[in-house]
Amino acid sequence: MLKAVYRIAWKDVVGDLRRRATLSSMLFFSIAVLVVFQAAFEPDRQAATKLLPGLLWATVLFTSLMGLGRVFQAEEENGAFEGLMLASVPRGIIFLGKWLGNLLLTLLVQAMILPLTLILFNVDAWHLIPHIFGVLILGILGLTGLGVLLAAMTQAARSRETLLALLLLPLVAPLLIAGVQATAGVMVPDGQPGPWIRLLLIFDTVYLALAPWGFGWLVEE
Amino acid sequence: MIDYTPFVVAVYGITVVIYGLLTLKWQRSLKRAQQQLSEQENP
Amino acid sequence: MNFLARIQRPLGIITLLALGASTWMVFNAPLDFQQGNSVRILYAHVPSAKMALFCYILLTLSSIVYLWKKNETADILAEAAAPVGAAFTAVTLASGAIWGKPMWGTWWAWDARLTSMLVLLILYMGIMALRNALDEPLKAARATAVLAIIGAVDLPIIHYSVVWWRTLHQPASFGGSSGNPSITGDLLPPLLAMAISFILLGGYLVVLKAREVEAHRQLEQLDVERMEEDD
Repeated sequence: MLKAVYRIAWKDVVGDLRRRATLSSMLFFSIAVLVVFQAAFEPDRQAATKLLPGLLWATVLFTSLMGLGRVFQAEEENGAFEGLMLASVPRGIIFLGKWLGNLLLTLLVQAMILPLTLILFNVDAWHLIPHIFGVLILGILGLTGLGVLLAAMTQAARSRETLLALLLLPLVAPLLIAGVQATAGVMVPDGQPGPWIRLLLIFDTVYLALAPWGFGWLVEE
Repeated sequence: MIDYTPFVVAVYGITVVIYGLLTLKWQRSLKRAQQQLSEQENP
Repeated sequence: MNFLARIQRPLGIITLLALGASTWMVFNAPLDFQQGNSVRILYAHVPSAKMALFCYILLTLSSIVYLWKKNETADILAEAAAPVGAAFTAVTLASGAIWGKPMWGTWWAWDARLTSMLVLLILYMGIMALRNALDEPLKAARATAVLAIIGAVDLPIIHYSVVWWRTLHQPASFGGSSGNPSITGDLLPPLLAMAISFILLGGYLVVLKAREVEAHRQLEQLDVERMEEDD
C-alpha cells in the first residue's frame, strides 16, 4: 500500500523534475509575484519586516494554485486517469500518492522562495528561517491536501484553473489567517504563535482526514 | 438623530427586488420547461 | 416531486400573506427609543442571515443523502438550495452594509460576521459554478456534493479563525455584541413574524427551484433519448 503511495508520488516528482514543467514555472511565477509586491508597496526595511508574513503567504498561495492546476494534467492529456483509477489499489491510496507528489514539489519551491523573499525584500531574518519554514510546512500540508482534492474535483470542468482558484481561496481563508499570524508570531521575540499553530494543525488534521475520503466519492464507479 | 428612513427603504427595496425577481425568473423558466415537455410528449 | 408540485401554489400564497402581514407588523411596531427607524433594517437582515445558514444546512444534508443513497431527489434539492442560499446571503450582506453606513459610518467593516458571510457567498458561488462547469450530470452531482460537505466542515473553522483574528486587531470596537442592538420586548413580535415568513419564503423558493431543475433535467433526458433513437 505504502509502496503504491510512494510510487505515484515518485512518478510525479521525477517526471516533473525531468520536464522541469511545474517546478520552474512555479518558481518564476513566484519571483514575478514578489516583484509585483515590491513595485506595488515599495516597502522600506522596517515595513518589509512587518509585511513579510503576508507577502510570503500570498506568494505561497498563488504559486501553489499554479502547481495544483497541473496535478492531474499529465493523466488528462494522455487519458491515463481512468487507467490510474483501474489500478487495484484503494482510491484513498491514489489520492495520498498524488498529494505526496504535490506536497514535495510545493515544499521544494517554497524552500527556494523563502530565502528569495528575504533577499528581495531586504529583510534580515536569516536566523529565523527554520522557524518560518516550519510554519510554512504546517500550512502547506493542509493547503495541498485540500488543493489536490479540489484539483480532482475540477479536473473535468470547463475553465478549470479559474474554478480551482474560486473554490480554493475561500476555503483556505482560515489557513491564510493562521499562517500569517503564526509567521508574524515566530518573527518577533515576544510573539505568541501558539494558538495559530494549533489552528494550522486543526486545519491539517481535518483536511488530510477528509480529503482521501472525498476523493473516493468523487471518482467512484 | 439621523433620519434612517432612506436606509430602511433601500433595504426593503433590495430585499423585494432580489427575492421577487428570483421568484419571477424561476416561475417563468419552470413554465417554459413544462410547456416544452408537454409538446415533446404529445407532438 | 409530485408532492412538491402539489404544495407549490398553496405555499406561495401562504408565503405572500405571511410576508404582507409581517411587513405590516414591522412598520406598525413601536420604534426603539434609541435606535429609531434603523431597527427596521434588522427585521429583514436577521431572518435573511438565519436563512442563509439554514439553506447551507439543507444543502449539506441533501449532499450527504445523495452520496449515501444515490437519491436523485436529494441532488435536485441540493442544486435548488444553493442559489436560494446565495440570494439570502446576498441580501444579508447588502442589508448589513446599509445598516452599517449610518451606525458605523462605513459600508463595510472587516467584522467577523460580515467576513464569514462574504466567504459563505463565495462558497455558494463556487458550488454553483462547479455544477455549471461540469458537463456530465453524474460527475457534477458528486463533485458539488463533496464540495458542499467540505464547505460545511470549513465554515465553522472560517468563522472562529476570523473571530480570533478580528478580536486580536480591534478589541471591542464594532465586532462582537457591543455594536449590535439587543432585540427585546416590543421589538420581538415583528421579528418572529418576519422569521416565520422568511422560513416560508425559503421553503417556497427551494420548492420552485427544485421543480424548475427537475423539469429541465427531464427535458435533457428526452433529448438524450431522442439522440440515441436517431443513431
